[in-house]
Amino acid sequence: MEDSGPVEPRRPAIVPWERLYRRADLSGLAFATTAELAPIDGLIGQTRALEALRFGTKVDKDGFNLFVIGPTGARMQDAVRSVLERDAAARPTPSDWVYVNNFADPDRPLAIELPPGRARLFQVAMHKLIDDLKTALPSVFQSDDYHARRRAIDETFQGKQGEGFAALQQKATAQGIVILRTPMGFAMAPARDGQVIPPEEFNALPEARRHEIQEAIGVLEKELEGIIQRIPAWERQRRDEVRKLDRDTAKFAVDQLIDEAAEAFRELPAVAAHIERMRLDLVDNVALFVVKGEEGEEAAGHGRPANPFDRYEINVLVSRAPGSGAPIVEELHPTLGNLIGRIEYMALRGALVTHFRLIKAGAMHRANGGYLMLDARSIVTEPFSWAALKRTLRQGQIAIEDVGRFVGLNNTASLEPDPVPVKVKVVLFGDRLLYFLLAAIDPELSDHFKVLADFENDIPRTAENEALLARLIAVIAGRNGLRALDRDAVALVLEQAARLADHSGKLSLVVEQLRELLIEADFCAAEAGHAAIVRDDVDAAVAHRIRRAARLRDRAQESILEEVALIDTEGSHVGQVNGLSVHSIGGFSFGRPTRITCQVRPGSGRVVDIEREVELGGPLHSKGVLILSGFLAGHYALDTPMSLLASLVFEQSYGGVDGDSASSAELYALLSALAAVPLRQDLAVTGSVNQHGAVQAIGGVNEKIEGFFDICRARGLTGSQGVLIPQANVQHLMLRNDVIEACAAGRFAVYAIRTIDEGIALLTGHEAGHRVGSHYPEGSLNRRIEDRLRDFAEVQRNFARNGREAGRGD
Amino acid sequence: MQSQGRSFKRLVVGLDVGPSDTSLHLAAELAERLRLDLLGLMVEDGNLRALAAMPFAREFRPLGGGWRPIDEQTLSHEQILARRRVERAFAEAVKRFAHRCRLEVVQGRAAELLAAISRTDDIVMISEPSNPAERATQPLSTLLDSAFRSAAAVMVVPPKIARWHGPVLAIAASPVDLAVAAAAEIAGALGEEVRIIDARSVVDSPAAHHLAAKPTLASSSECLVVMTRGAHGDTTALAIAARRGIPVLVIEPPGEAARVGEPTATGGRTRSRVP
Repeated sequence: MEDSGPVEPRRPAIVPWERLYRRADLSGLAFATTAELAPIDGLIGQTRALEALRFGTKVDKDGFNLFVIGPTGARMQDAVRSVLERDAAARPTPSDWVYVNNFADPDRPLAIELPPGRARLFQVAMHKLIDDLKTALPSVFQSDDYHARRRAIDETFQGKQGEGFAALQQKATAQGIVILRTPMGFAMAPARDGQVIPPEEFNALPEARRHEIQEAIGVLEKELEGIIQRIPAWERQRRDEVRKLDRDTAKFAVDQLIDEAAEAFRELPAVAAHIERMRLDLVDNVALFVVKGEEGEEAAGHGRPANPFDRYEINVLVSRAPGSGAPIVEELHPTLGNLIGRIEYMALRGALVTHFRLIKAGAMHRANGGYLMLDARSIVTEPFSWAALKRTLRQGQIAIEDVGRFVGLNNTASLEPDPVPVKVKVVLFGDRLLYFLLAAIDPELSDHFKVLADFENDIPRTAENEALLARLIAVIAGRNGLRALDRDAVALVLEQAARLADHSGKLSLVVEQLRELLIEADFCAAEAGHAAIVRDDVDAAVAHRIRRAARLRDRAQESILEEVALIDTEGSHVGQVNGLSVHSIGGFSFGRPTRITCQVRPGSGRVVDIEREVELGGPLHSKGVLILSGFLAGHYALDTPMSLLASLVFEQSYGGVDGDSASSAELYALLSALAAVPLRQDLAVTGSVNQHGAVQAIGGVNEKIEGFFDICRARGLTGSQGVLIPQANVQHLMLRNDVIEACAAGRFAVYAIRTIDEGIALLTGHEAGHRVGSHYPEGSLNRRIEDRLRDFAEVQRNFARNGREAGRGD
Repeated sequence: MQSQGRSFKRLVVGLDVGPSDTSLHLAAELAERLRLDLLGLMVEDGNLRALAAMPFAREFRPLGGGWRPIDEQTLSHEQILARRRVERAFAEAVKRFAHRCRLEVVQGRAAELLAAISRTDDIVMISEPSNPAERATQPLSTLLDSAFRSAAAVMVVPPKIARWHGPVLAIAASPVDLAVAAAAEIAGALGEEVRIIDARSVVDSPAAHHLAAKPTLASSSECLVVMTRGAHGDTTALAIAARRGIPVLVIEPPGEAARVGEPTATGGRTRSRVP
């Protein structure tokens, strides 16, 4: 702040009690209770976010997904959903999707797209077809016609085989040789009347005869070998014939049924193609579905993991009613499986098995063609989900992946289902910090979420906006089944909205906080037997909420009142001032005074921040203290080196300190110590300061004032007590009723301070003094400070000179 | 099971070195449902020992086994293995069997043994081999002749059974044909319906032959045919079984059963096992 001439500083003014709280103005809204108010959706005062939403929902290009950010509890999801619902209703209903068996490669199920509503019809049609086949196939294969043809084939081949053996048998018998069945095969031996000649009898035969028999057996053996070796070929031929018969029979049984089922889907090429594949598979694998007479073959379904007809069932992944518009899906638990679908398994004989009917849809499937709402924090904290979401958006298709294989949990055979093309608008919800962090560490964020919808925390407190918020309050009460609120109750809720916004000129849009307040007010109304919620109910709700959360505040105040924590609220003291701090714990904030002290002596020109030295002070606090050095350097003894050593400390502070809201209080303590002029202890101070001495706005002004007020009131209000706040914070004042009453009665005061000179004058009772030429006026506080600093410099000079002389003497 | 003078107490099933699951399964199920004792009869061909003693004896093993010399020691070992296979198959088939069951291993010629071992209260089950080689080495007609010569009723079983459930069909040559009562008794035990065909009603053709040739005859879903021997030719049962793929039970007329009388001794070595 540049000095513009010898202007006497303005005397600090007490903030009129009327400005300590701004009452709601509902004069423009005629209603007795909120039951009479027209409803309104949750998007009041969100023009910027609304524009972003409109843009994001209309742009149909890749990457233009939405990231909605705003304060926690703003219920952005509800507000966005209401916007999306209007848009979704007018958009075409997206396709249905089903998974079907891939007969050529069962590990890769096929995805088929159908018009909306047709998936269920397809499923029902195929189920009926299967039911019909279950009856038709076995019956046709049990028919006499089939058996007759089958028997004919068998007899043909048996005859062919039998003829060979019969001829051999005949030839062998004619030569006195018998064919024998051994445990492992066949053999030949000389025989008489069908009985093998005893060995001794055979050995007694003349050698020529024996030789003759052996030769005959040798010839027959070759024939036997030839016949037996032809058996597999005959058997193959027979099986081929039987297979052809089975195929023809199956085709006869299934053709008409399949043609009837396919008729309803003739215009859908993918479905028609699947039905054709199904027809071929049925014909090729008919043995799976009918009871076979062959030894070793099983009846249908027996011993198999599932009914063989299951391969023809349809797994409806997603289906929608025609004309239902685009879907809006909110996934609250976006695990990888819940997001992109999953493949389930079932235990079968100790092993995990799966098939295409165990593919389950994820939120992406359900939202395909519409909107998917996700909580950003949830999706980034779920393993694999964030990467899968980006991958899906980049590829434009949903590929179901098995999380178990990612982490090596199972090595069992799994599926690789056809990816499903996806066109979805993803809406992520999160707080601002998360968005900015993601934007900083994940460069892909901007590739996929190009539209930012930033919800306002609050809106200007105009009469129109108060009326709008009143209608929103009516909606909240209605949606939650609460009593209606009368005018005064609505007014108090609006005023609380301003208090929540920390600004008398704004209204908080954190709907969840208002909802909590209304629910508790409704409870109080019920306890009091009120038909509608009245102002006292809201007041009681506020008080109850504070009381429940204020145990730590009460303990802190107790320690001050018991003088464990030393805080004076009367008298004056050099180098000591009451600073004010705010503590926020579990969503509840309260202020409490803290004693700040300062000691000075000649030194090297440093202001020591003890909090910083012991690493309890944060960077903002340290910055504030360093600004004090700048202030001193620019205001005092400009022609003299700064020869000050000052130490500043928050007394009895055992935790971390951050923020610069106490820097003005620290400066007052420093100036008091330098001038050796005491500061009033019946006043507390908040506000940051810059190097020019201008007092700047801080946060939590209401809590700070109330914190000091509570201590003063407990000790007895003297009428001189009060709080110095930055002038810029006056607009934020929404103080408690008891504070306002005390101020109105002149028993407490809030002072609006613009400069350090104003503040020090109020705290010391001495004018600060404005520099005239090169000096401050004689007797002014600033002159005292400057003189003290020059004295310190002189001490330093003398010390240095004496030191040099002592050095020469040595 | 008792049926107007014919009382069946035992079902005898012939088992060779590679018993078929079909015949064993059918035998076990029928015995259980008709409350009959079950006798598995494994016949070891006595000719094989004589063969093994021949200096040039060798056997041809299908499925790539080729020709291998055969001697008494090898044969003995393989017969033991074959017995164990049959024992396992028999035990598996009768594991839930509530009545008496027994497996006997006898040596001799199957045809003679069947005739000798069977009794008037037996049903002897003769399965038609599906393997042509076995049909050639163990002619079914010889077996059937032997069985028919015995006092027992004979059940002819085709290599593949088309139906396991359905009505029991009796082919009646006369109003008092025992086949009707036997069919009714069996149908009752099986929980099936009984149907009767009057053999005289089929013009110009004996009913049984007609049934064998015309699969579309009225009763087309039967699971068993019962007929009396003598009313039809001996090959009729075989033809019906082959054509229709179902077992055919041939019972002896009352006089024949009494005339055949008690079985003759076989003289074969016998080993028995009760599971």
